[in-house]
Amino acid sequence: MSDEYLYDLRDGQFVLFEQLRIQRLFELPQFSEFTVGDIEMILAEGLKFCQKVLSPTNKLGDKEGCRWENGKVYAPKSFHAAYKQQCEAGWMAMSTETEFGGQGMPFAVGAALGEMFIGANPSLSMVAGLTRAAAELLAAHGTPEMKKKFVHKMVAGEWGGTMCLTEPQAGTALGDITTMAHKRDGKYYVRGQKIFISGGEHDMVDNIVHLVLARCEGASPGTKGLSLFVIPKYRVGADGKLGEFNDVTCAGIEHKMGINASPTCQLVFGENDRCEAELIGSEEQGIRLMFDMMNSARIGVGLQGVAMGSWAYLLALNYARSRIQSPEMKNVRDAAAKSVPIVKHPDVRRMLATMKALMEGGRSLLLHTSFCLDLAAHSPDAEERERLLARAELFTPICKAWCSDTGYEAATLALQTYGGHGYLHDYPVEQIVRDVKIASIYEGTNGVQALDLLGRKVGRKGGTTFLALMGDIQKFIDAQKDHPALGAQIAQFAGRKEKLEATTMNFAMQQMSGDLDYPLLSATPYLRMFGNVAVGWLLLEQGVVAHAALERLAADRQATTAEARRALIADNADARFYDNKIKTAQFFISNLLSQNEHMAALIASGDRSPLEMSFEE
Amino acid sequence: MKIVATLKRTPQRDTRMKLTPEGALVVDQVQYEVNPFDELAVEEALVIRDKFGGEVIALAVGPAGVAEQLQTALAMGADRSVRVETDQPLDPLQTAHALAAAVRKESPDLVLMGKLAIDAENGQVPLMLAELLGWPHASFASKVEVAADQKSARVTCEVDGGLEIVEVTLPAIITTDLRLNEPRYASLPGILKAKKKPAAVIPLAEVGELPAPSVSVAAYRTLPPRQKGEVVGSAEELAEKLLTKKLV
Repeated sequence: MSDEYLYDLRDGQFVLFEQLRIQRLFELPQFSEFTVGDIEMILAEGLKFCQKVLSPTNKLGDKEGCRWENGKVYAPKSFHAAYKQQCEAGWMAMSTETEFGGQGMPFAVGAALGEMFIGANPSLSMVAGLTRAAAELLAAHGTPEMKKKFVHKMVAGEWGGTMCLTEPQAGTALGDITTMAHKRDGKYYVRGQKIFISGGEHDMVDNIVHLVLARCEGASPGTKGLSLFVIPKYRVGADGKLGEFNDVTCAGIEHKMGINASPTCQLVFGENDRCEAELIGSEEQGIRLMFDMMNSARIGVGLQGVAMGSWAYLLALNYARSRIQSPEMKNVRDAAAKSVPIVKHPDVRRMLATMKALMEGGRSLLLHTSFCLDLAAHSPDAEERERLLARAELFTPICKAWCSDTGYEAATLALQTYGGHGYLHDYPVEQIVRDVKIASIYEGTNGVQALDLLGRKVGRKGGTTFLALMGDIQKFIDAQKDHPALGAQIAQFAGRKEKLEATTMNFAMQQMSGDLDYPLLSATPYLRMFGNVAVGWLLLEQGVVAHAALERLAADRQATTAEARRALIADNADARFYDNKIKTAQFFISNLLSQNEHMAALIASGDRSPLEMSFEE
Repeated sequence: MKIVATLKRTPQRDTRMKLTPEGALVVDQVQYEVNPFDELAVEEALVIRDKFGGEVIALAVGPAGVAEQLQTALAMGADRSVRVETDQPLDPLQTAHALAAAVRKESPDLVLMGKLAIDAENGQVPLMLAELLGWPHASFASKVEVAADQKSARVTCEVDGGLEIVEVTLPAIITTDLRLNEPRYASLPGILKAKKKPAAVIPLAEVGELPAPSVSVAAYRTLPPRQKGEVVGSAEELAEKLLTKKLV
């Protein structure tokens, strides 16, 4: 059984070209060079690269891990060549602007490719992903000199990039950051300690460009007083050449449950007070600038959830087709009955359907959100730009939390499908379970995402973004309520959507009455509920698109009778794909979205007991 | 140097081919890729071009869909492509004739070809092409060294039980074996550039008269399902069974 990374290319293409219809973008001047055929080829070649170059290093990297020695960090031996090949082949910065050496592709395409690269090797992709995100922040907010000095080298992958936020005493609470910046002879010098810095030190690049949150002398307390600095490991001269060591040392690396090959570093800035830093933007702008980077990083973490959960699903599917065990239940009394592949057993099918629905739904949510960002950046219609940017911001915490939670759920279901074998190092699923768990924790824990959704995003602009989304969903319901294949599910879905609206309104009232604790107690189930409705909408939309495509295919092949249709579905891969899509939507609505009923009830219960228990002693 | 690398499209490696009851291949849902041995030919052509300068032309015979595989060669770095257009399946000699016409038109210094295509595994076209052109050929190359004056090449050929080193004057036909190189992956900028590269199409009628087909496929059959094995008690019993079943 192969350990090779798997990605459902047909599903990625379906979401991009049949559901979202991103080809709309190719009419815009920025993307007029692209055609559907190009993107299909890029996706296929990208997948080939992931499977043949990155995937073989994934298990090796997990076994070997990173090594720290005297301030230096050594990446797994197999990584250097793979990383170099990735950079040279231009897969480093797919959606970065061409001005800086990126490939200038739509975000939606970059996200589809991003899923493959993260899935094929999540540890190595951390290094590449953070470098790209840091480069993009510098490209957007840096001075012309900074852009010239850093951005091209980073986009080419020759230099790394990091985001340095966390300190031992300041994790979620960034306001407690104590790293300080002092001004001396017109230059900033930074002193302080950062922890959990992914890619903070390693031997795959010549220099590492850190983006560091620090507080200037005399600045305001809290997050408001933070400023953002760019601090290279080696100083860079005006000619772009590497200069002297900039007093950034790696004091150690963490030993983790998963993503073992990603160097998670403790960094000390200015141990000898010689750590030069340049300010990005102006003083006390740091947290706002950093959030720019964090939003794209959060979509990236959602992609990690789907990338790994979806690979686990495809592995489990292959395993279930080949593992033969027990006859079918209807033949169980027949001693001569043949054992069948476990894919025939209903409980295994339940697990496969759950993984399929969650991961295809998550992929759709992530690509939809990325497409919103494309239109927010490039649509000629100002109203659409504003509306879809707000939509993407509303969806960002859901992308991060819903997709990382369900990615972990899918991975554990995949392991369960393997039975005892899944628990062994001999199969790739246990590594996936360990590697994907971090996604619900870093880039703001999923609890923080729920607070962000409920406390900031839903109420923003007087709730108009939320209401506009509900309006779009209602339009879909009204248009499709008599759908021949999905009418019943759409009616059921309409009820869940109303429950979400009612729950949201209740929170608003509670907050207005001054009760903050109770909404916070319910924020996590609320995010799941919201994510389920968003994903339910997108999966139903997929079902409607697939149904129409299947009808066209049946008409083309003159499959008019029920029997001819069954034969078509049995015989034709496209027909089977579409038919499965319709059934996936049905399953999600009836089996998974029904969780919302339970969550709405617990939120409405008013039970405050967790607030009143004496956990403190 | 002007180098032609020929390629054929073959079904993706993990494809399970289906047959009609009449024994014809069902091809309407088959996904194709560049024949793996031809990928080695493209790679070697690029390496030689990058050393000596010149251009690499990817050449194929086949229907419009083959443009996709030629595009892959362009994305890897070939400079332009030529496709001899035909919807008809050609036998090896006909293919060699079509290729010969296109090669004569280009008059390259070197033609690199896969040693065989993994679908039919005939391995005949390169030799026929060499014969038609009257060129020398070296087969199953695991190393190709073009002389500094570009007039000849020293080729290490994989033969049964060892290696044979031959020298050919150029122009020549060289076929690739697995150990020759590791084909590069198309780079992202390479893919985006590929579609702007010239891609010529020559109608089959323009390559001149083809010979009548000398080989045609009557039917395909799948292998019969494997019979269940049986454990025998002794060598004598085994010999006995083989004899009675007339297997020896």
